[in-house]
Amino acid sequence: MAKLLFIDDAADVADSYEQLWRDVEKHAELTPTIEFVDCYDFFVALLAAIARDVSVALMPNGEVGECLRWDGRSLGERSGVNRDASLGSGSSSGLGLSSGLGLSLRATIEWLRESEAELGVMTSGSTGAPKLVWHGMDSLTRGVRLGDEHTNDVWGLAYHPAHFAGLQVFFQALANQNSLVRLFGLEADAIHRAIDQHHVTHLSATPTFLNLLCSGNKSNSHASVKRITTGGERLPTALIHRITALFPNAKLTNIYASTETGSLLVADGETFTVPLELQGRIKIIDGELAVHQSLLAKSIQTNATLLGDGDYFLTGDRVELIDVINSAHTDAEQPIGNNPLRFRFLGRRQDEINVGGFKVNPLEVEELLLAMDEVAGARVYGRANSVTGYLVACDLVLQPKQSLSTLQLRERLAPQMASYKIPRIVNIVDKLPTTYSGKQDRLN
Amino acid sequence: MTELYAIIEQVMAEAGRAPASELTPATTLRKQLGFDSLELAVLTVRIEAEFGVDVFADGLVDTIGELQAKLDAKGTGAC
Repeated sequence: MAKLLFIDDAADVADSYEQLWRDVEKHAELTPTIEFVDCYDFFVALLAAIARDVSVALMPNGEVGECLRWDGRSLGERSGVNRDASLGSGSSSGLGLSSGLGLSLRATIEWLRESEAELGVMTSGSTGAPKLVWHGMDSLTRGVRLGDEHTNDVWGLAYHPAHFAGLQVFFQALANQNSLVRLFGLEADAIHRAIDQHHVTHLSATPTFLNLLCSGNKSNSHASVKRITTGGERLPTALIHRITALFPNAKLTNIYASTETGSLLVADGETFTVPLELQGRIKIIDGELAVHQSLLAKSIQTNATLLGDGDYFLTGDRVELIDVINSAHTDAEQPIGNNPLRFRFLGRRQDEINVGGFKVNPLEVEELLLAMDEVAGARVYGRANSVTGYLVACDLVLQPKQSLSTLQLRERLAPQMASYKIPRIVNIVDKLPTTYSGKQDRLN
Repeated sequence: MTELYAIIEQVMAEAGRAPASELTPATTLRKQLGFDSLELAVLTVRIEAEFGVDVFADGLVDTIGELQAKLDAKGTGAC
């Protein structure tokens, strides 16, 4: 039986690797953008562009894609056939893909990395307007791991395939000829079924996605999952406990990654440590994580307007240093002695809520809400008003058969936080909005 | 005025306060009901959600009657 590439129970689809390479070879109609409609077609068009060194912008479907289409200028500058301009609609590529690449893992990853194609990937849009960031194949495949130990991995595809993290999962699976099981965009029940039915062993997903899975699922656990990688948002301690209960055999890795930087750092729990080889290229400027341009996506490296003073990109992520001494410098704290830089994330700078002049970090409030037994999901945000500027409001998803009144919530939080931080407007909702990349949507 | 009273009573209940013995147009929000700025903010958010009127947009009001006058001026039909 041919090795399966992509399994989508919702669409009753199971596509094989053999078919994939044949279709990539036949796919000669190259366009400056690849619009996501169908997963398999998307993978075929993507690999066809990589095979021919053609740079393409990847467009998720729906509103985000619509938004980006207006930005035609940035698409046109980058897109085009780079190496073999003779390839046109209907021509046979003669790339030899189906005879060779499907057989050798080493050849697959080398083939990917040798391509001169750049891929335009959209940022998640969780805290600002989505923008297009161009990556070379080297940075997109930097995290791919090869080896016999990966032969039987089965990946759950929890990210949208056009998203940076979704592409990384795709390339990891492709390089090892692993199967991908579609999980993104499904309801929690369908995700649980797919993980069990196809014995998913590896998951890469946002904390928001994992929280969705943990909510209302106290009886089942997924023994097949051996490895979970999460990132893109803060990972609350309460959620770590829930993930451990749901996936008892999984090693959980929390990474710092973004569309602009790719995967950069790995955390132990909530604490990130900057490794020796990155010391000096990652620092804290005025409480905000800053990344040197040498670690950025190609299009950001060359865009001076996105770089702050000294060629550092300000990520917008507020962090708190651990083991520090205070200094008189405006760059705030420095690590003690020769210790490596260690920090934890506090949240996005632009997410802070200003209540009558007092700043509230919504993630701090969300973490306390999530620690309540009744609460399955929480989104904290500012509600504008003419008295205090903003009030803290929250949308809550409750665990099945649970209730929680505004007064109960306030009484429970009162001993733990200042009065102005406690949500005053509480809405009970069925689910929380997410961006196409699976993060909590903080704009809408 | 009934709908406005209901919103005021809801804000007080959510704050864990005992219901007021009586609400009249002359009742003051701060002195008699003890609303602080955060409770006034909640009140304006709730009124705006119900009637689409920001009653504190052009300065603070003090009595329930003044709140009602703001709603009447906008023609909300609240009573």
